[in-house]
Amino acid sequence: MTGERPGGPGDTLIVSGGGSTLVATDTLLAEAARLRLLQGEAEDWLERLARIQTLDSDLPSGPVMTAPSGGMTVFAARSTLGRVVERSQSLADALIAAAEGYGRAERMRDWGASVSGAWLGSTLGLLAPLLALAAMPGITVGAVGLLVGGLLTARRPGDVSADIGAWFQAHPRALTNPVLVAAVRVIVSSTDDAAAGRAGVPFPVSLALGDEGLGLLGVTTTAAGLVGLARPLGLLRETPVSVERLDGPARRPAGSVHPEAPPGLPPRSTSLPGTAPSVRPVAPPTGFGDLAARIPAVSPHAAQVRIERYGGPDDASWLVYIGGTAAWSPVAGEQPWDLTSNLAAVADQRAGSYRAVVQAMREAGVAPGDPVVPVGHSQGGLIAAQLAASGDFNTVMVATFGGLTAQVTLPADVVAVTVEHTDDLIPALGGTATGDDERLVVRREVFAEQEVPQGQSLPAHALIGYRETGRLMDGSEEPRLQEFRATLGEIIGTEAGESSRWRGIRLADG
Amino acid sequence: MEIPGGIGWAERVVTHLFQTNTFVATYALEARLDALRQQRMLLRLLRDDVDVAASGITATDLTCSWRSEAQRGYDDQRNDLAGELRRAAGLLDTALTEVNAAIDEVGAEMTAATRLAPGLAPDLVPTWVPR
Repeated sequence: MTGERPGGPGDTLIVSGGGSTLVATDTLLAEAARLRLLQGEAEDWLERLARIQTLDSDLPSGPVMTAPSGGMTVFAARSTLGRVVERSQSLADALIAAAEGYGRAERMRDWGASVSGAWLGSTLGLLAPLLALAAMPGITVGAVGLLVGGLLTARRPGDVSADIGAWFQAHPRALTNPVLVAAVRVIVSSTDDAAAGRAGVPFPVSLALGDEGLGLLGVTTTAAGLVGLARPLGLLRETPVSVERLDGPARRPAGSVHPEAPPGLPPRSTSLPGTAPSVRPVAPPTGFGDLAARIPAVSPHAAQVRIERYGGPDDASWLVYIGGTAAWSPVAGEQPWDLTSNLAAVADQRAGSYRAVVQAMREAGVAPGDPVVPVGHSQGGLIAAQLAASGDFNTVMVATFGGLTAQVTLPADVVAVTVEHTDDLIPALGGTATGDDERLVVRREVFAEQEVPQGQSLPAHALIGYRETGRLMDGSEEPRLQEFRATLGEIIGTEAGESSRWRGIRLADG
Repeated sequence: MEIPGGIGWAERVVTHLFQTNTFVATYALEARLDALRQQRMLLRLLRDDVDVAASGITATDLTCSWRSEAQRGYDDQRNDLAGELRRAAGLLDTALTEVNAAIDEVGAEMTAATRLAPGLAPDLVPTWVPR
């Protein structure tokens, strides 16, 4: 496209939402905006030309009106500019109509998939015992086959999971696939319908209560149910949390450190115990690329939160960058950015990571009225969206990259951009969007053309890919993306700010 | 019999009338020149704006990211639109040349008118007339 865009489907951004029913590539929407601008300009040019001619009409022998070719020249220019008005208008109309049509088709497809999924889930739930009975012979044959195969090849049953893992490693496209992502999104959203069907709730009732209807049942209730079932087994148990500033003075977190935490506090990067917090000057981010680049990368003992302060003592504004999941064990350890927080956050139950972010913000000095812009990747994206939805702080903008944010309804006055890769499985685990807010959604298929790298789990979810998408968004001329960057600049200003890094730790329960 | 001051008086009246006529004529020419100059300025601004739009409309290369038949069709239409803009800019440029010629013409007329009125008080001679 432009100089910043090498081109190709892998670099194409699909933009939707933002209070509009249009769905199109950023290029198309930028084109439509440019043509509308041209139409307005051409109308203005016609008026200006008429004024120029009026100057001439006071002088009967003026060249613009009456010179041998002058009159004809200006008449021809007026006529040409008139055609420019018509052409730019019809082309802009055609582009908007195409985007409207695409948006309509996409909504129809999503609605159809959602209702079909709900029906299938409800039916499967209702027929689960019969299906289990019917599947018994197949399962038996499979189990016997595995056993016999294992005896013949001297392989243990535990090797099956290794085989599955190896197969996915050898076929990376299987999990990095927009079709699978769309299917998973529908399946996740239909789980509540399956449970309702199993409980004997008629399909129309579960449909009316679910995402497609009142929204009383959905991914949130499914996650809450899962957490409720897991906790008695010692899994997914939430704990109190504490935070420490990594580039500030040493401070032992209040409360007992989680028993699974390694002895002693993790090493600090700059300051010695007892010294004043060091201030790290930082230039304001200029766009999505900078925002994504400053999100902390996942690492067991690294900071999960970075907070930047801009402005003077009386007009402070804050950027809060929140990292993604760092631990995947279902048993809560010392890391709050874990599976437990993931499910608690999806269940809207104030996850450990959420509480750690709030605590870090308070300790950093964020006042209730200060403008705040949370930015997050993966679980961090969900936490950022929940911060915006909670009203705990004065969140004015939010940007999420690869977050499970579909079910979070954002306030209308929060300017929001959600970035999702269509071949990234993780955002799909948040289910289908409820569609109740005006967030701008930017989608990109990262591996549309390039090979999916082997030996890397879910490469389309990697922060590095989202950073690249952020840079593409900065190069886009789509008006709403440009507006987001301009608004961000207005909020944080152009002066350098201060940065601090924070690490959340789970404390022993009770 | 000589009318006292007769010829001298008539001569003065005729000269004065001629000077007044010349002054009125040059004043009208100067007003026209002002209008033409204003036209030139406005036309130049308009031509530049149209020129900028003509080059801007095709600045974005769509051929790498838009590949379907419809998208190529759009690209063709956009090129046609850019052609129209360039044509309009060209026509405005021609009109500008004509206004420039008219300015030269009026300037020459004013010079000639001033030469016909040699007694015109120096402070009445328009500033644009070469002295």
